[in-house]
Amino acid sequence: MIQTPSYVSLDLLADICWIPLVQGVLETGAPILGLDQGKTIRLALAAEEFILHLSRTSPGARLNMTLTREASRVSVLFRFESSSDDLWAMNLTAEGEISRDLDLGMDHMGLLLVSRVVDSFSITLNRRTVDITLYQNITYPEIEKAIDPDQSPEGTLSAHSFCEPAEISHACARVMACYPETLYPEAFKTPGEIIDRIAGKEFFAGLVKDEAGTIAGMICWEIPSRQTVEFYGPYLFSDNPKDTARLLIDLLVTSVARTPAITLYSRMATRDLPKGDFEPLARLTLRQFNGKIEKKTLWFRHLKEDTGCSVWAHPNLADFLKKTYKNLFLMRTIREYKSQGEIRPHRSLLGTRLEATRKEATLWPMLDGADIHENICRHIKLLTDEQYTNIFFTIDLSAGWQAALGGILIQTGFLPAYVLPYAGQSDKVIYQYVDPDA
Amino acid sequence: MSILMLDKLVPEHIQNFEPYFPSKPDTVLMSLFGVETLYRLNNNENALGPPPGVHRVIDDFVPDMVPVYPNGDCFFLKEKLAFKFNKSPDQFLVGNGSCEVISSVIKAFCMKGDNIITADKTFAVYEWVARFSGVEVKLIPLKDFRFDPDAMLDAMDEMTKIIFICNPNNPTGTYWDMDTMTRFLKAVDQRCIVVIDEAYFEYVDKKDYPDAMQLMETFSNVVAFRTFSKMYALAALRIGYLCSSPDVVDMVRRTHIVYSVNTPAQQAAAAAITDDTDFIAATRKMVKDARDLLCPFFDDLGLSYLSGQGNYIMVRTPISDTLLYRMLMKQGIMVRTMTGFRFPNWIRISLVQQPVMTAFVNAFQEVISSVSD
Repeated sequence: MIQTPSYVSLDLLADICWIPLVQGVLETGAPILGLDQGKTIRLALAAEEFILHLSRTSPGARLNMTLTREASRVSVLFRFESSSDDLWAMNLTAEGEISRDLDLGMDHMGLLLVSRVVDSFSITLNRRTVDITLYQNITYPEIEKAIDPDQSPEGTLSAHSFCEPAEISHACARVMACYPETLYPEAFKTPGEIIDRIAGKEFFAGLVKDEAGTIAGMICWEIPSRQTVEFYGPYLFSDNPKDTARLLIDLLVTSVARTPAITLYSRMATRDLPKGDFEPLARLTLRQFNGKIEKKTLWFRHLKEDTGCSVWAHPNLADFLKKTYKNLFLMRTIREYKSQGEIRPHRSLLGTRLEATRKEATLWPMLDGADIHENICRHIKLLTDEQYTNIFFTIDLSAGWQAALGGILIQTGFLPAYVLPYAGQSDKVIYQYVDPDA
Repeated sequence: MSILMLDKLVPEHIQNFEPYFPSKPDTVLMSLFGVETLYRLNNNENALGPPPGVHRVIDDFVPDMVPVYPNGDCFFLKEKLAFKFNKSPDQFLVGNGSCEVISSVIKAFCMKGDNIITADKTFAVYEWVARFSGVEVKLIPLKDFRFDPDAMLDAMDEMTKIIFICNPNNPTGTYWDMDTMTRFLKAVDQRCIVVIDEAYFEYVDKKDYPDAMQLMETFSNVVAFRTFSKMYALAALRIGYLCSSPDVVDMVRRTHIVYSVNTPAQQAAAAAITDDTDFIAATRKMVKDARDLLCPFFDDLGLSYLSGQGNYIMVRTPISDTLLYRMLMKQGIMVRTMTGFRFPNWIRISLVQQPVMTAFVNAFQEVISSVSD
């Protein structure tokens, strides 16, 4: 069988003369990789603006561009060596600044456009190598909730990690019918995305079925970082929740037991989770779209023996960490650190992930900068103006500069909510914004 | 300067393989967990220490011997093994622990597109080495905590090159008896290599337990693995070996690194198997005494456990094994969590001397009581 190539790669220099070539590659390649015309045009526009920007700020820099079909999206990676000083214009809030001061902002308008015309983007730095990846999601049709209850499973139940696409789609519809939206991922509404992500080994699902193939329950998981697995469920559709839940959880744990993951956790665990298997990580207060307050328990367990590690912490976080680690029996060497007045880049960059239906936003520091206090404030204002009621800020305690943000986070209205072990290079602390007007 | 694109240089099966990170040194763990004593019940080491002959070898190893390369072929040790097991020296290959001979066997017989067969819940290294060698792994679920011979036979195809059987199985302690093993080998019918890993051979005291060294006289595709790390307590020296028909060993030798076994390890191993009868008996007694203490203890707590062969026991815990590990470590007891063996919420405990077993019982009782409150 001849397979469609899954990526195209170009090595070029940062110069506007290559823009037509880049556009040609994207406009030809992205549809072959499954992107629709509208999103292809936006992707090509973003790439054009990015090359324009780089040719102004780092003329002649060597650049690799790779267009790739991922499971449920198309990505364009730009890898180059450069200063990251100008990347601040990819902040969610950059639009306001640029529109206020066009003389200052014109050079950065391109980056702003880049960040706005694609579905999402990421930035990583490895010494002087900058990776900017732009993502365009494939569009999938939405399904309706299942209306009629299934026939009850009978006889012996067994767990299966290989599932037919139709079974996944069917199970997603059953989950939508049986559980509130706060307990399942948004993508369940577009199961084609789930099916493609499962095929691409980005997302995983297990089903419990009876001998006739009737589905009794489902559990899903994904791998958000190298050392963590996040799961959703267990979702039960039968009258025998105990056995079904046990089978689903055992399938999940044995499936990920020999991966590099250390922490298995859930922010969307259902009440049928076998509690002895997991440890409560935190109890969060969330404000739903309709104003209702929701209390949610986060659960986790380790998959490996935790033999401890060192973490950086701002002095004002140390007590919270000590108490948390003691409760969780986690051995950590806490090394306190705060900014020592050292020279920092002028402009910071914050990553943002928005979940509009839940009114939930998560921020994280991508690049440090002297303006980070103001930058965080700008983000809070924008998000609260847009009615985001659940705002989180995540820092990786393996990075001293991120830990040092602890002081600023408290000043800007955040409080430490929980520790997610090994979610970054070491543990992450998730702060939650406490709106004084709420 | 061009940009290094590692993802395009590294084969996919290596990118997808996850490195194993061993535990931290005991001193570091003791400092982290704030304990002054740490009882190691996690690696099935023989807490009695090596046989007396080994002490003499280690004492006699002087710095003047360090500059000289070890014998690259473990000449004297192989002679000793041949004499002990009534074989010829060319039927043995000695490695830097059994892990090295696992790697050599897979390299010798497998290439891309081939597969190996083993169980889903057994010693992980067969699976790991195959995966990072780009070889498909067919994992067959245990049946009643035992290797399932029929399912393993059903999984065989023309690309199957090696079947790994851990006998007795680590961590369940179950084993195939002579009838089961013989029927299996007949059914395999020389279509592939059958590795019988007997890492815990010397701990088994059952009349129906098959000896792979004998089986290979009838079935020339049998490869026996043995180690000096478990019964003989030479774990720090890293030495294990395989034994098979000369033709099979000749093939494996081609992929085997020479000079990987150091001189003290070779000498200590040779000393260990000399007059080992009393030592093995003493060790077996220690294991039996420990088993006799733990089984009633778990019965009283109403916990399921597996007490088979080998110097270990497995127990199902009412809380996650990884939480129990952390709580026991705070009391200076280190056990092995079994989630990594695909037995979530089980732990494996090495069976050692009574005072340590008593310390384990007390700590375990305290931890279980605290979570029940």
